[in-house]
Amino acid sequence: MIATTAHLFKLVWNRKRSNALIMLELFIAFLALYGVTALSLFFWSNYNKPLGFSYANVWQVEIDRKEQGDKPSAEQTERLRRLIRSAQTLSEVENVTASFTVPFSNSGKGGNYTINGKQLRMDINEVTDSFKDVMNLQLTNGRWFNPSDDGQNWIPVIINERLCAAGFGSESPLGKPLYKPEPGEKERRVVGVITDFRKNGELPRPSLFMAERINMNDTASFHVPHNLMLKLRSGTTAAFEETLVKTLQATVKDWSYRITPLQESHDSTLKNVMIPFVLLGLVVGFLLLMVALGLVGIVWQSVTRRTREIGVRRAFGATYGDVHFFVLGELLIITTFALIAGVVLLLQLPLVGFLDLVDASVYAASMVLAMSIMYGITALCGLYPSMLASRIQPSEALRYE
Amino acid sequence: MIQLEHIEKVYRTDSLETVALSNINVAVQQGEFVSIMGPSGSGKSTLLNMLGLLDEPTAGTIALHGKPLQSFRDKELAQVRNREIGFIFQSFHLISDLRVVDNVEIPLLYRKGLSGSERRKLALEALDAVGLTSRTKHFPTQLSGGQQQRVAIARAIVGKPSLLLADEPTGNLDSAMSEEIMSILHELNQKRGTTIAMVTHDERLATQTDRTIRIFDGRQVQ
Ligand SMILES: Nc1ncnc2c1ncn2[C@@H]1O[C@H](COP(=O)(O)OP(=O)(O)OP(=O)(O)O)[C@@H](O)[C@H]1O
Ligand SMILES: [Mg+2]
Repeated sequence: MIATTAHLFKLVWNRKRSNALIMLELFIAFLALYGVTALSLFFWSNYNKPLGFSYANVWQVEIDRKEQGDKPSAEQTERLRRLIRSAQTLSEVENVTASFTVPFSNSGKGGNYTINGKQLRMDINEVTDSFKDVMNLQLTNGRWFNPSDDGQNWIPVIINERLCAAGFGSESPLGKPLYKPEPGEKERRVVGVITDFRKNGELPRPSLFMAERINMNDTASFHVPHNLMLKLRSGTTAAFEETLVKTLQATVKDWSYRITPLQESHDSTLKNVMIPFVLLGLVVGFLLLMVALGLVGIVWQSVTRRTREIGVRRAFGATYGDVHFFVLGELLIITTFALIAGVVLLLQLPLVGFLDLVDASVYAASMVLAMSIMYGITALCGLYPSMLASRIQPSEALRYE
Repeated sequence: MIQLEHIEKVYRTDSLETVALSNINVAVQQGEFVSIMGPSGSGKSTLLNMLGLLDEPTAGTIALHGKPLQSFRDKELAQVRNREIGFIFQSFHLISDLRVVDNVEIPLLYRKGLSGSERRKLALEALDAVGLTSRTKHFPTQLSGGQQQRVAIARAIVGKPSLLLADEPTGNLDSAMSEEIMSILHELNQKRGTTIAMVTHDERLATQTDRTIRIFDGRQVQ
């Protein structure tokens, strides 16, 4: 087996010119397939991690304040308070919170910060005290915000476990400043840790996250949030939307309101990613089919072109099985050459920062998966022609012109 | 050494039946050098294929060292071909994508328990025996016809078979080269005691052998 494998390598190498085209096809197919498997595994591994919040029966109210800027004024703050109160009076509404950004929306806030000497990128949200209950967040350490935070000269923040691990390691972050404030800025001090808040949904990679407390009494430093989020009693129907808008309109009439159930935003976000992904999968699937057909043609041709070679090998002691292995093995080695070239290229990906986008495990596993699929396709394509080749009587094969 | 009894070979295609051999009885003794002669289409190659276990007879028995071969499976037949028999073909049948030495190693690939360096050593020895030590890294197309046939002989003898079958080994060569090939075959027959059966059209070459089997229209005439 080892002897014949080395022999086959030699043969394929000597025939490299006639095999070049199919190797190129296999190489391209492998890279395309890698793209799809990497994306699939990336999505799959992200999908299997918890969101950290629940969007069922939560509605978003996007407020258009009809004016530029977030600069708070006593009047705007007062209007927001009234809106929250009026929403809370409705019997369908369990809880109301105001927040800067909402789940499944394109807008967001974030930035790079130096935390304990490490440069980290994190997503940021600004939320009121009821955000935890509306979103059903899971607190794993410390406490959530409460009205007693009003009097502090620092801003309390909540971080997710990923940020906690990245920034503080195994140490407790509680009571510690998250990063060094800019001159004139208040210090952010960690008061609690939540499992997660994956604002962008199941498919994107989980990120580092921090929530700051909105202090509505501190009109000097907070931004007026664009959004309310309402936790509704289960069983509330879409018909409630009209009542809600009417109530809000009656409370503050020169603002306007757009209502979206988070379930809807969730579904459309998912669709926006999945449709191009499925299309890509179809295109690559088609490409693989073409390559597979090409492979069958190549094996077929090489079997008929080399019938006499097969006859010679049979005459000198090759068994059915040896011929089978010979034809199939040649194909697998051609594939191996193409895959080696592909893998060498893929090994450059970490150098251009690919591992910042996906986990190393996804990167490696998708390479193994794509390689296995390529070998599987090749073996499948070579099976029938190699079986035919092995069935030829040696005397017949030698007569073949 | 090898014995054919009442051999018949019929080729059937959709429309016609060709009787290539009928009632052939041939016994080749250990150490003999026999030639097979007959007009074109008389069945010489078919007979050689029978001797070389490359084809099954329609009827009759083949026995090697007194053992009948009917009951052999493909694996066992392949083993017998590998260990006992070496082939030389009229049109050389070298593999053009392999270097000379790799062509010669082919029979050894199908023999278990040989290391790469042992195979290489045996192949070089066989090439030495046919006087081709200086051409081992060439590809077959870079050689003359006589040289190619010598490579084919080296390939046939590299596994030290006891029976060498040659189907018109000099058919494609001029007379000087034919002589060269014949002298190599004679040397193998005399020095190593290799049994040889050779198909030829050349009466002069046939007279150099121990015995001639003549075939006419599938029948043995002598
Ligand atoms: N595979 C086959 N299918 C059908 N007929 C065959 C086959 N092989 C040989 N024959 C026929 O059997 C007869 C003997 O063929 P064979 O090749 O043995 O002749 P030969 O004596 O070797 O001739 P030559 O000297 O031309 O090589 C011929 O009539 C040939 O047409
Ligand atoms: Mg012939």
